[in-house]
Amino acid sequence: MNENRYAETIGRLKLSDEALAKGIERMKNYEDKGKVVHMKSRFISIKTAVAAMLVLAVGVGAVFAGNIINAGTQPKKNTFMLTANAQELSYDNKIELRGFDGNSLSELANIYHGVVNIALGLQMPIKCEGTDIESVTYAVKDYCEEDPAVLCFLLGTDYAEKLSFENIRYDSWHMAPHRDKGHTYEERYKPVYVATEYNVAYEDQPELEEFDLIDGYYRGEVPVSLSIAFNDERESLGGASYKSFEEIYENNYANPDPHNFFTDSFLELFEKHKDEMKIYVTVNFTDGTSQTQTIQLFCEPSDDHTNCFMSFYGMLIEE
Amino acid sequence: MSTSSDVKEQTEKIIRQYADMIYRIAFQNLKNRADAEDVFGEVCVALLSKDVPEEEPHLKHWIIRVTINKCHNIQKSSWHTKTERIDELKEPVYEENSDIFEELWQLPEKYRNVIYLYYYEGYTIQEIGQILKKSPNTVSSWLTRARKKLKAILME
Repeated sequence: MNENRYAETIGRLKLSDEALAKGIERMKNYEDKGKVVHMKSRFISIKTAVAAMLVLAVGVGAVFAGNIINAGTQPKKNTFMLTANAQELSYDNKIELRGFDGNSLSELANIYHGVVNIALGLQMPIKCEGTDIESVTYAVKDYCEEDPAVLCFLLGTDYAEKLSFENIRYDSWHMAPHRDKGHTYEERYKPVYVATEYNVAYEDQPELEEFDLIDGYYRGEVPVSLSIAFNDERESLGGASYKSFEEIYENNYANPDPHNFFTDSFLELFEKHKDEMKIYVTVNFTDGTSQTQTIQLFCEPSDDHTNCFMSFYGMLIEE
Repeated sequence: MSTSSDVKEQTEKIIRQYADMIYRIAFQNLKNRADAEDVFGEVCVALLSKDVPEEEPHLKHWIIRVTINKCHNIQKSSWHTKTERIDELKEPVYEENSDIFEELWQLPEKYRNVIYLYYYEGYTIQEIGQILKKSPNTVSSWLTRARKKLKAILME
């Protein structure tokens, strides 16, 4: 068989005349329902009509009042809400994402030839809720190939099978710790994708409760991370080897701690590229329409020195 | 201003024009005639929506997208997930070309739709991206993977 046989076979699939007539009749009946009501109304007496209008007015008023009362609690058709750690993201307040992966920042930072290279993964605790939603697309601007800022989704779990990726920058197999059901860590290979966009069916969205949430941070395998990386040239470090770099931070920080150096650098660079730190969430509804909400990310110093010295927040913005 | 009867007449023309296309997409997605005919009925009613584009090619693209969405709805329904398809309701074409359909149905649904739009409808990768609201890169990689999987039957 070749492509022609495929085309020929598919071409022979034809809707039966009976099914065609049934479909057209269904469409016509759908219209006719409205028509029947219209015809009947001609026989309604004036008094009945006035009475009906009064009843209608009361009914409409009740529905209107009900809508106002329910406005904050009932999701409207073709609208959706985003939650992070069981709180609704809003246009008014920043919500702590509390999804930093807990890795030591210094492990993820590197320095070579005068370039500070800093990267970290922010786990994605965001979930979409709404009605008549077919799928949800999470996207970041395509900065992956542009220096100095990089913002990408890092997808490195078995859960990735449920996602479809756009603009994959690279994919590879990666040996990573895996937490099995018996809470024992073991090493195994799994696919890693770095992409600027991924799409997930509404019903396949990660149930974050399925993943271990300890002290506000997800441990073990998580569905999706957001990787934020910076490559920033520092003149003061020009040509520095790792050894000379150590001398620099020891001179600059009274109590030498690579965390301080990297977190300061990260916060500085994040602030510089704040306008780029956005996640675009597009919901594709079953009727073919779509809506997008934009999440602005914020990064602030944290007093919680048990972790990464930084806190991440999200807030909806109009674009 | 269009009257209800004008709209009905126009809709019937559209239905007749795209009936087979809707059915083909639905049959490939749902794997049986009865469900495909149900989807066809659903799309007929959806065509009364005021969101239907008037101009081509947007109209055809809209119909393709809505048909695929209606198939998703049926696939997600508990009835569909908890029941087996009845062999008697298979399309007769299936009986003669069961090898093609069995291979096709091994593919994920998104691959089947891309194969159909590319090889049957003759759309380019760019156009398929617009129809399915996916990037050309994604469509291209779906097509490549689908081709690899279908190599046995397509290249035979």
